[in-house]
Amino acid sequence: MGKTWKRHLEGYLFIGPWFIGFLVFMLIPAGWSLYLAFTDFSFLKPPVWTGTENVRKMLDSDVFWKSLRITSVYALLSVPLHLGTALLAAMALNVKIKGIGFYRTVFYMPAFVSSSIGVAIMWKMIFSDSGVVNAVLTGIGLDRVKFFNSPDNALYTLVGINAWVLGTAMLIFLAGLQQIPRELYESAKVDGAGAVRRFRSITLPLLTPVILFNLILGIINAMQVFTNGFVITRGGPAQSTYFYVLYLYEEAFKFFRMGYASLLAWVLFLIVLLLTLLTLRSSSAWVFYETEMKGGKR
Amino acid sequence: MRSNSFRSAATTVALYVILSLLSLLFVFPLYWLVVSSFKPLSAIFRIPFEWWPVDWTFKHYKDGWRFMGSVTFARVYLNTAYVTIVAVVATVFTSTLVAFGFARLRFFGKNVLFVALLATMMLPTQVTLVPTFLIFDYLNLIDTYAALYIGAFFGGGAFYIFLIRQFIMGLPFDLDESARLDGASTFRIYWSIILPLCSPVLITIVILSFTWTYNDFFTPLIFLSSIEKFTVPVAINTFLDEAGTGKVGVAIAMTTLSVVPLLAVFFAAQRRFMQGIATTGLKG
Repeated sequence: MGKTWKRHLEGYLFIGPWFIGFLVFMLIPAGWSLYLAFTDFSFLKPPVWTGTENVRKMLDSDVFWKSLRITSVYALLSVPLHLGTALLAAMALNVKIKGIGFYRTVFYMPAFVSSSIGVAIMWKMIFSDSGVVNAVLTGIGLDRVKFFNSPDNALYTLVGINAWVLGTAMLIFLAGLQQIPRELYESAKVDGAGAVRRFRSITLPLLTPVILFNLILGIINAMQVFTNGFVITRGGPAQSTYFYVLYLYEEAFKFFRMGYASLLAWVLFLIVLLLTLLTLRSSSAWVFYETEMKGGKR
Repeated sequence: MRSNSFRSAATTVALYVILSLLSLLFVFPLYWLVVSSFKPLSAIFRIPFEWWPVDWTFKHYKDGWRFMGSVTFARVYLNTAYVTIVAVVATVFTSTLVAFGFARLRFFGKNVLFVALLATMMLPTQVTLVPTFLIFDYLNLIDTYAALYIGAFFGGGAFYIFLIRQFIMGLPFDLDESARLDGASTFRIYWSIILPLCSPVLITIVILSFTWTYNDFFTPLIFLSSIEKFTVPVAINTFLDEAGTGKVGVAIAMTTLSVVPLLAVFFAAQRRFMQGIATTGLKG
């Protein structure tokens, strides 16, 4: 009897560090922020319960809808671009030639350094009005482009530079590609299937589980985009890159509307959760699991 | 036969050309950063682009290193090193303890707690942001280094625990059993048997927690206010606040410098690390 008691205690001691952190820095704050979401709270004075006032304010706020739209456009463009380029890069690297390891390392490297805000600063300079990209454009006789300094372009420039960091998705695709048996391609070749056909009938279906994984990660990351919008464009020009988390951050720590910011955070969580569930739901229609191949029927 | 081998040789050459061109695309931005940091201000944005600095200057590094008032970048790097080392060591220790508990021990409510652990990966940090700020304020952690590394003492993050737990699940149970028969305590089994066998996954954890802490911009942005406590990302960010073009060279130089430790770690450990990343997607 005493022994089982000791065994349970031992288990709790081992997971103790995480469990305390879970309570103090996760569960309690999450519940607390759910309460704050329905209060008027400016940090200096204690929170005042206002019921659905914040919700009404949010739904009436142009900035809320604007930042949500900007973030959605960003996600809608950058996720497919990111996954598409990552898949192409993975396919180019999925060959057995000398020195391929070197190329894999080089292709992956940007992903490793990209979380540094130094890289954001680098892009700001490279795509500035007199930056090296514009130097090249004028060099070949084209007009300069205001990549970050025009409300029409800034968002798309941020989408574009995000494709540079395709490394993590690329490695996951590459691992998926390497699991596809070579014989499948060889027998398809014998049957006279061309490269496009082989890609559509073998590569793509067998890769769908990995695509699903990358897609969900991509959506979660894109909806929470912050650093590039904060460091490079500061949300501008004319709020054209005012991402949702940037809005949330300014509401909380610039205007100290912390109750309202808590509501924004929960709404973001619900949106991301909904998108994830929808993606998972849709997956039964397009994701192909290898076990199905043996069953023969779908 | 002959034409066939000629064709495959041609495709191989074409492949090398394509891969090399693409490599340039991945390397060029960083190359631009490095060479620009050694150019005088007037040459950084000169058209056409100078592939190699005509006049070398170290002025940006000298000016940038001085940073602000009595705080130099030496102080900034010391701050960062201190925070990063504490965070990495604490993460390795607590995340393996917790992962061992979930992988090897039996206790009441284990499965429910493990699901809770996985669920926390889904919760955006923004949700807990405001209350965390209040809790840190209550604990007098605002504007302290501890605010930056305290999470590492509580498992370091659900993802790390999950990775290590998966790895430990793959180790044979006989190891524990025979040690237990020899009278080893549970902690002893964790410390002398399981932990040493975890070294492959621990390398991944060390690199991930190093880059995470070293690059973390959001946490110090919110919790630090005194310049003498700044870490590298928030320090570099101040160059952008004083938007004047005069600071451009300094920002480029200090940015270049900040990427060097990352690249050093990357090239030292890239092989094993890239394998670790690739497998996360397949197991998940």
